[in-house]
Amino acid sequence: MTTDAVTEVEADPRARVHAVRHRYAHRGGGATVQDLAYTVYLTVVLGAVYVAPVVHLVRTTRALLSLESAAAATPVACLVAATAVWGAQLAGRFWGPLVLKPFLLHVFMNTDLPPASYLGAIVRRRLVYAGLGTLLVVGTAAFLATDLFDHPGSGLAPQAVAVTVGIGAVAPVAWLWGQVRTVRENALLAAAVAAAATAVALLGRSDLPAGGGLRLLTGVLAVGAALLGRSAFRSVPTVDLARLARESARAAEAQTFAFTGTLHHALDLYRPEPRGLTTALTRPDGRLRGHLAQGAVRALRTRGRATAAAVFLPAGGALLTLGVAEPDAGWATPAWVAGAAGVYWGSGWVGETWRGLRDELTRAPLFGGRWGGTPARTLAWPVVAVTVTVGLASGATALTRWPLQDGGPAGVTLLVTGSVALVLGARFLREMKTNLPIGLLLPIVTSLGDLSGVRIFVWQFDGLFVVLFGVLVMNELPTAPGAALTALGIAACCAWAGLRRTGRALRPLLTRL
Amino acid sequence: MSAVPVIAAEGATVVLDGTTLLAPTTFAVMPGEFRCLTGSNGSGKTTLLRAFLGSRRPTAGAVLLRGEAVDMARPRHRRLVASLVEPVPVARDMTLREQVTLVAASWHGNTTTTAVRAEEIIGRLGLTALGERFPSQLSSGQLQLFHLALTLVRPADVVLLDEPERHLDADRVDLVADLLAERAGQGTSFLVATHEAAVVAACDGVVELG
Repeated sequence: MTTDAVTEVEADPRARVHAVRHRYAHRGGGATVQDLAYTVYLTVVLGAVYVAPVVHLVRTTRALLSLESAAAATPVACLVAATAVWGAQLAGRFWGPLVLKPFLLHVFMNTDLPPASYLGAIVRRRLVYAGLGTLLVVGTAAFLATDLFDHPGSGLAPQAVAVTVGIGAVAPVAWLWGQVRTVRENALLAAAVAAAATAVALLGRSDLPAGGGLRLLTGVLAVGAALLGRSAFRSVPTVDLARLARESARAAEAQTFAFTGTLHHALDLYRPEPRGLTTALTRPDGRLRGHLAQGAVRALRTRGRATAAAVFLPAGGALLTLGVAEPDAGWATPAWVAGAAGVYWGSGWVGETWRGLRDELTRAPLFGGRWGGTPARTLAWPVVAVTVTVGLASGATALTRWPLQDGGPAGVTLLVTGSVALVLGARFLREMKTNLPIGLLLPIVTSLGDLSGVRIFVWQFDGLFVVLFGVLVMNELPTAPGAALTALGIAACCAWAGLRRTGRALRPLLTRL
Repeated sequence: MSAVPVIAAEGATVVLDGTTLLAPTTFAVMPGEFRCLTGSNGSGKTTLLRAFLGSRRPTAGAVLLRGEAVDMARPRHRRLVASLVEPVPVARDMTLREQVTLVAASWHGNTTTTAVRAEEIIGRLGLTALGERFPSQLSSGQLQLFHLALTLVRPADVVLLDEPERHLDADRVDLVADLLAERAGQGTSFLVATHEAAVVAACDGVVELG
């Protein structure tokens, strides 16, 4: 049948879109009223058992962040707003509001329907949900972590609510913008957001009358939401459908991994494909380059990850050093924790060889039973890159704080070294993760109910948990050598647990390495 | 018959990183013509089909759809071309009949035509008895027929197929070849990359690549 045979009545776009969505929604796999009711029931029970006591506890203790005036609240609100926009843009690049089920998108893409006719309604609905979600999260965070709502007569509460609504309006459209606009346009928007946030924060602290800063921020958010939304929605009709199909296919696969408890496999799908430097692994005479050079070349083949590592490793090292060098400062522990987390993330992005290590230890060997040199081949680059980068950043930071408090250079060196060892151990543990062990699904019966879900959650983010736990333990210990030894002990435990994840007996495995 | 070819390649060439994926190729497919693309592996059959779908841009020459450069961002071009070149995503939680009907509904809405078209193509491809099965319950050959049903249930002026005989036994290959020839007789043009003699025997002409 040729397209001439399709009559005008049949070809009404709205009727066609409605027909497809109606049939797809009634395919039998969708949520029933009972499913939704059960979800609501679970949410209420979990909220009453777990969330309500926490809310009560937080509300009856001193606020984490004291914002008693508009001048103090404006910079914080600007930072929150800018972070929300940047986060939404980033989320849009990976999982935007236009992502559909691959089959449904394929059906629509293979028609002559304009993209706006089948994407428009879905986008509007998702943006409303995202806006409500953002409103809820930001509002709850402000209510729990600040004292903005403790003084009803101060007039700050209504302004804080207005800013929260503004963030709830601008973040969803930034999410859409992140997906439909190019990387360059997103970078420009991120820079503009930074500039606007800085300007409003500075104005809010200086010239404006009382409460002017928050009112100005609310206005900027409202105007920004209108402009961004108009611009982003105009891009929907011209969206690159082929790219959207790839994103949707990847999202569907990632969702399956995430729902089956292997979030790390889902994240692997978002690793960029290596590009360029195709002949750089070998020297001109045909011999392979050394382990360090090989690791560096493989890292540079994924430039986005390498760039992120180049930012996170020195920044993390600097924060880490600040945290350990000035233990008496109020921000010392948060800086230490944030720095260690930054180094942890950077250590994963700095090299592709971590994955080679896992594959070599967990898969059947291609070339006989003896591997030989696996650790040197796979670990040399990331370990050297992390320690050297963090060491340089740490040294530079220490010089700016000279003379150092308490234990002096020796104490700081021990703590930084211990933290880096801890991070590398945690990264090794994370990278050796394979499939979800069935044993984790067994119930943990307590008076608070079955906590096996908590254990699975911890398993999903085990490396990060080790880093956070290790740093907090180190922070509580009275001496630097004791803290460093503890960190080394935790790192050794991580290495042992990581090797256990290969499923091989430890002694023969070590012999073969 | 219109004088304007439905699709045409004019010296279409694809070179990637110094490797020639498609040597300069020129031909035209007229309305209602069933043309086969043959040639050894790597001769550029799939590359040429991708060029007509806009997913591989020619580095020299041109590929034309009704005399215009191919641009699948244009609704008119998407309207004209149906294809089974890249893997088709299917819904694992919908039966074969539901999915074929859904594709028909994307063109005909909630009209009687939708059900008629879906049942017609399901019947012609011998899938009636499998209509209530899910994709995971189909064999490789049945899946290939299912993918053909998803492609052929929609109206199109030209259909691009990459090895439609994949996983099919001789009887099913004949069935598919007869169906394509019948559709060509009704005015739809076909460009089919194939290694199968039965499909080549059913077509109106062959473009040999490589």
